[in-house]
Amino acid sequence: MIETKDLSRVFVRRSGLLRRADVVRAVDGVNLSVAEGEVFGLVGRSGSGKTTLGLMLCGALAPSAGEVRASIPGRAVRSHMVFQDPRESLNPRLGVGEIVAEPLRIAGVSKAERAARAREALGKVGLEPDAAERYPFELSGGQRQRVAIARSMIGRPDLVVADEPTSMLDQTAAAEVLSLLASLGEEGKTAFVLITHDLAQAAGVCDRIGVMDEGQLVEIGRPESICLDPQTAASRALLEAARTREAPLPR
Amino acid sequence: MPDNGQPAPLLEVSDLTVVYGGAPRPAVEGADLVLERAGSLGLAGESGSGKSTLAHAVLGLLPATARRTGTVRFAGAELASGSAAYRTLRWKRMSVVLQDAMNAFNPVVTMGEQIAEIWTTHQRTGWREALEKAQGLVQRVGLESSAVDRFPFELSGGMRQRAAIAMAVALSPDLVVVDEPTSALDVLSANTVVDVINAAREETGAAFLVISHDISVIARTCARACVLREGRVVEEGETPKLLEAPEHEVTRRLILAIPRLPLAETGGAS
Amino acid sequence: MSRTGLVIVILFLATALASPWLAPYHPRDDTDTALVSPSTRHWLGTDDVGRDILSQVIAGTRVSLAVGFSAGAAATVLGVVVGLLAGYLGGWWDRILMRGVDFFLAVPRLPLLVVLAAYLGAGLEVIVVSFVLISWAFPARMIRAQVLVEKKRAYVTAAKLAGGGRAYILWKHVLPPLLPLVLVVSIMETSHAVMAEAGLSFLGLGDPTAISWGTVLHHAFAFPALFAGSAWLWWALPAGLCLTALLLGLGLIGMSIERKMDPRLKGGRLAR
Repeated sequence: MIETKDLSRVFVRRSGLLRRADVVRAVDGVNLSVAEGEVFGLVGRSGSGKTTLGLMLCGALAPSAGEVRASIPGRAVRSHMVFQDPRESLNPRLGVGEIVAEPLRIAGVSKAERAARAREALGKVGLEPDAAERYPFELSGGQRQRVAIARSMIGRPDLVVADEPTSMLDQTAAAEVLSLLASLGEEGKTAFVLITHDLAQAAGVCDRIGVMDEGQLVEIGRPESICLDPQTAASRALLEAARTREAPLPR
Repeated sequence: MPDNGQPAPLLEVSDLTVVYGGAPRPAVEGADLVLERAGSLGLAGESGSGKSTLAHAVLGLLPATARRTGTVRFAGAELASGSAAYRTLRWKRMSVVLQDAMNAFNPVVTMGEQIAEIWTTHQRTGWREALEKAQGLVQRVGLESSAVDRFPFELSGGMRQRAAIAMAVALSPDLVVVDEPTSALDVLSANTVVDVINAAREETGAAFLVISHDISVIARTCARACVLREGRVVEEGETPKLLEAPEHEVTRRLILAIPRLPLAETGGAS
Repeated sequence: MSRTGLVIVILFLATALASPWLAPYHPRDDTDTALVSPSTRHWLGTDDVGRDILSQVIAGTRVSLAVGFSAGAAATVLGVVVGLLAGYLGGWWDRILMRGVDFFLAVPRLPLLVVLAAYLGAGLEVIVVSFVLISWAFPARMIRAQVLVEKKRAYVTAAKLAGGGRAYILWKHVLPPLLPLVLVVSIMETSHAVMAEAGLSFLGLGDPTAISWGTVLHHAFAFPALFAGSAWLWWALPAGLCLTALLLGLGLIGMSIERKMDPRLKGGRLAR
């Protein structure tokens, strides 16, 4: 459904009196594909380019080189995103119902239908329907991410890019949001790209995982292959980190 | 309970209750905890469970509108809230790495100068000597010596966090409180920070109070742990025993919340 | 919101609206002998031509406020529109518009105001236009800075992904958080506009056919013996005090809004 060819994105910062250009290759020649309904994990350290790649996959950022080919027979691919910071991703002046229904409002859906579908969407992400009357500041981080997920899915998109959706939540809330994403991904109607720095998190949820290092996609495979037989230094480092973390804990 | 002849625990908190001005419920209720010299205690719990409030109460950092009851004893002496004793204790006998420490650096001053301020402020050391000490400290937490000339934004989050921990132990205090040391870091950086905490503890012999919503961080840094829920301590004990046989539902949730790698497939070639 | 400030401004607004009925005489009528001291027939006495000063001050309220408020509003609107366009559209728009802003910020405002008013001729419209020209740049810069922050919000990206157009996003997500700032700016510009009109009229560059506090002061100071007796007390002082009072009222309102803007962000509904 989505395919990238030699996708690259550079950022140029001009600094100093002589305006010397500082070129940062955030994404460098990436080739990957995401199938319909697939849950694809994009794993890498902070700064490895995952967020930039995610933005390009859903069309929110233009590439500097290469292309993103998105095709579904008959129409354009619809994408949406779930962002990392739960505080920033919802407009604090709007009610939850309005936030969730915004994609429908932009598409011209009637007010009554919007309200009904918003309540349905809130239920699907595990929130009470009367949460629609609340404001973001009344919700916890985990609840806000659920609202963001509801908003991203209400327009029935083909692809949702979740950019480190749990990095700013405590571990317990993170686990709940992750299992919500897992069950939504399992339904198979929407493809997900889960961006995370946590290999174990991706392994539990994704059909395939791509490992990123310094802007390049260095390894792709099924979670089991990457976790049991990593081929690159980056994957090994991520694996080692996850192993160290879970070592003292019981299974 | 200290026996006769045994030194008193470094930190003893009894029946601590904290209510923020205007709040309907206490942020911390009836908390008891004990930390021995050179010991390590973890405060685990979900966000909002009162862990940070408890630490702030111990450190005398509660806002003026908060009401605190119960006792806090540091090295046998009782510390009342807002007591002047805190000023003499701070940094030489107790120090803290606050939750947003890695973002609390002054962006227009180099790291070296900011670290050197510890000695120039608390020990009236001269600048040159202080800068040299800063250099040494920075290397001990695994950063390059050139880090002292860098500005905070030039270092990664993990590096800044390590620098903050180094600063907390610079004057060899008896107690170091670390609040959510890894919450904004990726797994690799988080592990490095855990190592730095352990190394700092070994080198300086300070007692550590580690607060984290991530039980694996506590598992790797603390010999004992307390689990908090809605301001109350619901479970506590030696960390390995707590992990092996958790009694409270919250403890179980915290343990299960850490993602696990897949096990090798049985019967399949890898 | 400052109650004192509101009361002051509302009082002046009411006076301006009701001025034809409040003024005891027609401001241009020579009703009496010249330079009569304050009495029951003329509360503020009469000027050098015998016109009632109180009526002039009351009538002047209308012009001073009308010019001040309209010039202030126009300068604010222009500044906000430019700031929005430059900030949101970016690229060439931003560069060109900002060069314009830089130019108008660099030029000394008061001299330019006087030169423009003198060159463009007499008339209240001239005052408004001159004021807007020298004033729009500062609000534009302030608004643009805020727009740059607001357009990067994650929820703006979300709206774009859902197909939201520029106008929708500006209206729904970018403009609302700017409103408190726009309000403060408009009050500031109104104050400046009132002062500008008073200043220009005082210098004789305003509309000679209009009556405003500035023109009252102009006539007063044009009289050579103003300070010889006590004439200045009831001729010049009242108009000056009205100006001061109005500016004070506006200033109090502006300050109270500014104060509300800040702590509100930390402790109120929009916190966290």
